[in-house]
Amino acid sequence: MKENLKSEDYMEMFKVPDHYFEDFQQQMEKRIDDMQAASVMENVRGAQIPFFQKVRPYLYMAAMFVVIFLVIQGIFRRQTSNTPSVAQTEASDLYEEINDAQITAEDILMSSLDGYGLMYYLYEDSYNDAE
Amino acid sequence: MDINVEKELSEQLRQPETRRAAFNRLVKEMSQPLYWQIRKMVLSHDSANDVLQNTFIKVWEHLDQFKGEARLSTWMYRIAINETYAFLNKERTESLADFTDLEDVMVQRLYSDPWFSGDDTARKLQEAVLSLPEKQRLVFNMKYYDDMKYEEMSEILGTSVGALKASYHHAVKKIEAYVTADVF
Repeated sequence: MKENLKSEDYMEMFKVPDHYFEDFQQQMEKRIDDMQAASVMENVRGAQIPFFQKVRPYLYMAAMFVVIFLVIQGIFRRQTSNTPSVAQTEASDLYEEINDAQITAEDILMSSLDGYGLMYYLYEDSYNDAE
Repeated sequence: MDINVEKELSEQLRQPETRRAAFNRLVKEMSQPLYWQIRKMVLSHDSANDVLQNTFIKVWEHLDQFKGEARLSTWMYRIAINETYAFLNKERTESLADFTDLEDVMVQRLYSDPWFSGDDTARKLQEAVLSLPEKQRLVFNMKYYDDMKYEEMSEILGTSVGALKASYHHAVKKIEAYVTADVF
């Protein structure tokens, strides 16, 4: 098998276009030229860009965060000024409860009900049924 | 490429003022051996042309990474092989999407390739070579067609000489079995 097909035979069988390798060299030279030119242009462009233009995107981004922060802070402030705080709410509830409790105590104290009257009031239905 | 020429080019490639001219000479010296190494793996001329261009672009872009520990040609062969593997993997992924086997596609392409002029026996041999795993195919090509020394192959492929000998032996056996099975 080895005697039949060697490197030269392979090249006979697998052909390449005429002057392919000469053309390939020129193509490669052109590609490297283009790459170098693009690299130089990029460096020049990078050097020419003014400082403000370079940092502008970062400034925009920072400004955007500041605006978002202010908006969120504004919303929170508004909510806290409209609704009473937890401490305030609890205190007012407690005050009302104490008031209610005082009224109830006064009522009981001022009540003219004696023991019998109280029992009658509580078990009025049973008394009525018995009668 | 002659070892003295390689040393001279390696030195010139390190200097920015001589780098460009040295690279042009490198393309001239190495384009043919690299092209044929790639072509034996991808078979079609257009694919080989693409891979060869990518190889030289990679060489140009990574010249700073060449420290001269290996021979310049060895380093370039490694890049060419990596580029070939990358190309074949990409092709394999595309053929998988079409539920086809890449090696079958490559055989079919060979029949319609205007840059292939082999007869049926040659085509059958290519089919047999394509039936080998990629690394074994590479070893077979390097030894069978290019008669490369095992030591040189070992440097390029990073595989021991013993393993390469075994791989080549198995490859030859498989190809013989493939060809004879089809004849009888």
